[in-house]
Amino acid sequence: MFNFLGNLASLFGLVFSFLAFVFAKSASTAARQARNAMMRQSLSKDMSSAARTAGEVDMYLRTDRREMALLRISDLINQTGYLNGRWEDRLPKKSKDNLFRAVGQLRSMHAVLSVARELIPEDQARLARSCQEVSEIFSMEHGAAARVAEAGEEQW
Amino acid sequence: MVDEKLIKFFEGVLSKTKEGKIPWEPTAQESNFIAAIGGQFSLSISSQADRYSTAARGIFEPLEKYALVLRDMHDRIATVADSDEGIRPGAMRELYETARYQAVHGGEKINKAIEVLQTL
Repeated sequence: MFNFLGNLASLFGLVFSFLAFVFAKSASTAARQARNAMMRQSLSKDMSSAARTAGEVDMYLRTDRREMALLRISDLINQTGYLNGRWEDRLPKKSKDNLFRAVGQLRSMHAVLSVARELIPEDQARLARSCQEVSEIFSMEHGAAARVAEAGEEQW
Repeated sequence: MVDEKLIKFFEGVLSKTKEGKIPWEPTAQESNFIAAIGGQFSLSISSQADRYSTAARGIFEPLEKYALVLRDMHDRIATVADSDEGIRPGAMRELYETARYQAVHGGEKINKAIEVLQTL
């Protein structure tokens, strides 16, 4: 009789252990998914902020506020460094290349605007083109990050 | 004396540029072109008039100086200049001109110019 009860208790123990394992595993998966979702949202926010700064650079250049444009260009170079540092392991190669291109364009814009002379129309045309390219890059990357955030785990 | 590795790097950039495999693009500076490679590095090639040499040679013979810069996202890693020992004479200029031609889509524009000429 005692022997039978002992066996029954072992069987129950085994079943409970298995159920505990299953619940723990699904809880861990849910936690990982929640963490990834939060990170995807965070990347989308970071890209959105960079896209906004790029828009400000464009506005300052259009309104001929050189000093403000220079400040925002420096900010955007720093933001891009942060973006690349923070998301280095997660960003696809194409996005990293895009960030490199953006930094290259921003550096050249900074160099042109830092020269203490009146800008000639050719300078202004090149600046406008570079600015447009930077804006496009960050808008595109923001779109890509938002898409990944909406798509969920499988694309991350 | 330039590191052997830098010369190998320069020759690699030149040969891949000639093959059209490096996506050079113009920047806000007239004589500066950039490219991103492999999601890990950026290249920049620029030319600058050498004021002292220009003054010595006269205004009709300006001497351009060229520099190729390799960067990662954090820092400048290396700069190769045409005056560096070990760089073949004229090779840096060749790289600059090839990169510039590709960046401004010279081929397409010349084709268009030929078409325009034929209509005259």
